[in-house]
Amino acid sequence: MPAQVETIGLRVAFGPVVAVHSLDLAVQPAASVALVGRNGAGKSTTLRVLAGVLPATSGEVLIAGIDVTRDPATAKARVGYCPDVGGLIPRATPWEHLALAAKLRGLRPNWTQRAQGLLEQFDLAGAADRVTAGFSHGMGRRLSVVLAVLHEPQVLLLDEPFDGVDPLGVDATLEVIAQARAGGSAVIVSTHLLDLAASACEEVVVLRAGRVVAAGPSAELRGDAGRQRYRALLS
Amino acid sequence: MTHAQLPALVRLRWHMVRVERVRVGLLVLAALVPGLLCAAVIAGQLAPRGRSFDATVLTPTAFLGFAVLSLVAPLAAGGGNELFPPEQLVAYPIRPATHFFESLLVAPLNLAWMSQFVLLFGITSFVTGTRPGLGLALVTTLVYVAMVTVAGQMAAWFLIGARQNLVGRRLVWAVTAAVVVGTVLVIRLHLGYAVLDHAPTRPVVSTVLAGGAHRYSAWLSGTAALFALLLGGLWCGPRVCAWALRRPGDRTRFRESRTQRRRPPARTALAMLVRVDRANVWRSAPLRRGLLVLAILPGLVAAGAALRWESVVLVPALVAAGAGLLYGVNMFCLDAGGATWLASLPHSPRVVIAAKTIVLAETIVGSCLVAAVAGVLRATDPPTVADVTAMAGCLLSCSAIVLATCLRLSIRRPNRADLRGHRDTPAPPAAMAVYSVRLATVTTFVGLLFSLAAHQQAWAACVLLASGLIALSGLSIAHSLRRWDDPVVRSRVVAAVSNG
Repeated sequence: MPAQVETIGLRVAFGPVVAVHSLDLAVQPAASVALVGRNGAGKSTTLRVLAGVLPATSGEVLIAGIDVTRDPATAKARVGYCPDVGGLIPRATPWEHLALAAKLRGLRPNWTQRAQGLLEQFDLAGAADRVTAGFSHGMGRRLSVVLAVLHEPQVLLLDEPFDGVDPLGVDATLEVIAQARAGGSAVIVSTHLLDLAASACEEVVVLRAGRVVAAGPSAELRGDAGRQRYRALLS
Repeated sequence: MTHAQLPALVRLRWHMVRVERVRVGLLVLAALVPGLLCAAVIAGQLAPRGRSFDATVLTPTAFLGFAVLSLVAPLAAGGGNELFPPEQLVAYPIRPATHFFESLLVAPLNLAWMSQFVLLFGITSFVTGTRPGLGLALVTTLVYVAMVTVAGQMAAWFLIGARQNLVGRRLVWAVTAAVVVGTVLVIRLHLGYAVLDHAPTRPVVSTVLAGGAHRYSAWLSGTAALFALLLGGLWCGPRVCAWALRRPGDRTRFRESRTQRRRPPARTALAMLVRVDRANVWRSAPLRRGLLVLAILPGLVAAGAALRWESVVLVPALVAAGAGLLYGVNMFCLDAGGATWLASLPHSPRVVIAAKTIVLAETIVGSCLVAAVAGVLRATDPPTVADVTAMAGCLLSCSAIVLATCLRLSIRRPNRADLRGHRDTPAPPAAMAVYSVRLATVTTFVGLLFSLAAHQQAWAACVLLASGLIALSGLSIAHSLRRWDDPVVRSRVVAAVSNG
């Protein structure tokens, strides 16, 4: 089966600083991969490239077989992306965000039912018509996840979705990840929270200074032994 | 501690100007100020003295105009501008006095303030004449300028504090309404000259003239009184600032927690983006207030002055520059952190920039129209074809020029700016000063050309000039759109407005 997400020799440089070095990554449909690593390891940069927000310096990026550089609009239509920071228009309401996403993604009029359901699932229904500038950090994170999964994407990219989120929000996020996988989507989660990474994903890729230093089943990073192994990989 | 905090903040802000060319530009601008002041003094000395009596009669009005500007500018900016947005300093123990002196330090970074300051020096020189007492007269003017600037900052901080609760907000609205109604009454009852004849700045001008005429005791008492007021302002200002910062409640948070009306989705993606951008502008406290001030104040002044048509032509030129400075010079900052999410949605990049351009064009043309209509309502002469053509040409040309410049700047120099707090601006203070000079210089020059054409009754020249300027602006806009098509350029803009 062809990979839903594939990067071949992905390299991203900001002037003299190379954020991602020749990254090869392949995620199959219904698979989930956690990107873990220290700050500046290249996790968010990789996700931004996959989401079509940042152009790669070199290498190839394929989303469901579509080259992100050649046909960004088609590739983006298949992706749901939750950015690491912010990710929300400050003076727009959650409902306006959802309506904008639905319009730009060309969703059918019944998107409102799914949107309402997701807002309730993430405990945001009561704040659906308040501007996001007044939201707490956790509320913003939860809304970003809702926006990423609204259109049931083939590829779900979540950058720090658990950061500052309460336990109920974490449960809701884990649930939508499981639902996305059950629907055949490929899921990539970037996080610093190793236990949640192991809960959410079956595979883990450890990045260090823009390079893959280890990859394997997430179960290997569970428990104290897993944590020690992870620390050894980072140092 | 303030004497250590303020230089540290200024140094940090200076180091944050990363582009060498911008640093040089700022230094050149700073060096120009003493040069302009000297030039104004020399021009005042060399000007023909035939109408010096008229000038002396008008001087209190000029001094009053400067006082009004010094009060209105920080009030319109929600309490004056500052070196850093408050949320960037929240982790540091910044004293209220530092906040006050910081905003005072930034106050002169304003084209209107600076040009009026130079004008006052020129007028002082002219009315004093070629006498050895000129130096004393200039000292009085300088103390007056400092005093009203400090008073303006103090009033602005008082306004911030007063607006933190419902009673205060009602009081501010009542005072604003009283001022507007009073101004309209003065205009309608033709009491303008009578009011200006009793301007409170007459004793200041008397002190200036006393200095020039070597009446030392009159000069000394007047200048000492002004200096005492200045010291009083410097003593009270930090305390008023501390009171304002201590006040509980936050108007911005109150508005952010309000429920917005849910509307059915727009028909097209462009219409949806335009709707979100419009909401982004009108729900931002500094932008909403800036738009109201910009649309109402210049029109009110033009109406009050009852200008000739050829002079009213200049009004849209001045307003267009101000409208661009509200947020246009960094238009993508409207999306802030949402820019990253927006960039991940499947759409043509042109749709996003088209929506922003439409909303900015609405802002500029709308403000210009309101101000122009208010101005022409009380124009003293019936309009000719040339007058109307010049007005329309100036409005459209200046709007197009400002739009083109804003697009270029927004793509080349994006900044993170939340435009959330009352004192937020779309770019750092020095950049705003440079942008204001850049925009106002061009639009004023264009306005003068149209005014001249109206004076010469040359309507065909107005049409030609407008066509040329709009075509040039169109080319510039097309170039900016092509730059926006480059994904590397777009990602740089998105990163800058999202993360800073």
